[in-house]
Amino acid sequence: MSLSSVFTIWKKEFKSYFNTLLAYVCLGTFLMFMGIIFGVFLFQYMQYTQQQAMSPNIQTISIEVVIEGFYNLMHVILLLILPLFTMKLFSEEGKNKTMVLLLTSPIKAIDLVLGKFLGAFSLYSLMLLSTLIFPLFLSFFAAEGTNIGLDWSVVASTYLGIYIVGACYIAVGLFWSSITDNQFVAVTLTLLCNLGIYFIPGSDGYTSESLALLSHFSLNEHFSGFLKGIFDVKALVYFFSFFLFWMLLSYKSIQSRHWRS
Amino acid sequence: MIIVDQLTKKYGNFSAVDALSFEVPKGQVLGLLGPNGAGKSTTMKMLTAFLPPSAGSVSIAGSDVVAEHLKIKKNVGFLPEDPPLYDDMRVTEYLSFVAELKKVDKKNIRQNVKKVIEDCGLSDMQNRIIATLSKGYRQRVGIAQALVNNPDLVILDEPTIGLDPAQIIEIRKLIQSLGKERTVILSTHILPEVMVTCDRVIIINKGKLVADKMVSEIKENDLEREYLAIVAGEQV
Repeated sequence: MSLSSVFTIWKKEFKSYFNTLLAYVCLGTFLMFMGIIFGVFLFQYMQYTQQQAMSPNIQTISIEVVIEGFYNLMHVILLLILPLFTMKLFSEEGKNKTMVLLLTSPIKAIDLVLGKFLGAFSLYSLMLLSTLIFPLFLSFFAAEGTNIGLDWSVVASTYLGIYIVGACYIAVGLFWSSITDNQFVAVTLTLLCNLGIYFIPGSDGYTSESLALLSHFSLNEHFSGFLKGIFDVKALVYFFSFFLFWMLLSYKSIQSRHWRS
Repeated sequence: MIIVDQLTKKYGNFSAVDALSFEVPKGQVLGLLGPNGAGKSTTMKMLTAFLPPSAGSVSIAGSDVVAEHLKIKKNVGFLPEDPPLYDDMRVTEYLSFVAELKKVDKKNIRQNVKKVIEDCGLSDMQNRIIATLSKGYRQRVGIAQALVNNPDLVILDEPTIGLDPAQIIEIRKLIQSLGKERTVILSTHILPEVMVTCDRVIIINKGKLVADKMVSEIKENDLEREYLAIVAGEQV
């Protein structure tokens, strides 16, 4: 592995997102959706607390529940939008015949895969960073003397979880992009794969015990802890192996390119 | 400089390149001639360590293409049939990227890029986005890309394709000037091009070497006659 090669690819990938409209459209759409959802959630929460103030027998809901719902939705939107970040990574190189350039340069498959991953991951980091405006808004709001208190440790663990999950979806997309020169095929396969992974039910979704073993593969089962501020080593191991598995597949796929063309 | 020994590439039962052997001394400009599908491009891809050979070996400046491919890739410039261009980049940006990929020393990158831009006649186009360039200029950027790492060996797959007559003359001059300090291998369909630019010509047909001559030893019509005899022989 050579860091300078990784950096060369990384820089090129990240810059190329901004050469087209793709990055702007994705960032804009994502923030717009999140903004609308945030507004609706907050509005409903305020209505509910007003009702509750008038008739005290209604159960109180803490702001954490609302935040958890908000980030659960963010997770869904991410799994739909991240395939757009990754679809071009290798497919475009194949289609434009630039793969020849990369493969006749003194650069190893591992550097190529890592650089590509980091390119998409940086754009994703930027996107996630911009969503920090929502909890910041809430904490500002809380200072106004309402009963909304924000637990920053939960916010931190939520962001850690989302960040890791996003990295995993990018790794999935990277692989599907590496096996086809067609971006549409890459994005479709990534979406199907992401949805498949998303819908593996957690441990309470099974009727038979042998099927319940599947819950060990459930992404949501491992992700939900982060939203509640629970730091679980098992979840970290799960996501790390998930990530490594897909990165390894990409690596093998790029390595085998030499033997295919 | 280059020793090709019994080089073979098989796709299933089909041999694209069949036990090809030749040597190229340093500083020679070698032309590869042959009909479509003769194995020229496949041979070039194996020389650049893009494709691994099925059998046989290639050694460039004493390094084996398979075992020491990273070392070789650093010192070889390659223009494939389709120039590997990123349409959304600017010419200078693209050439700097390629120089970085080829591990040119950071301090030399600017200077190398500037030199190839001048050599390939791209000065007026250096800030243009590649997508807006005409086919001829795209081809020139492709050639510039193959030279930006100042390689000892330059491999060009049909370098003058898509260029207008004036540009062809310029590029031929460029290739001739390259031959002074480097080894050049180029493939082409154009017979007179070989006579003008190359020191030596190899004709390949069906993956096999069928002729190997110094250009100074052939009269202009001989090459054409010989070439046509080979192509005709294939059809009989």
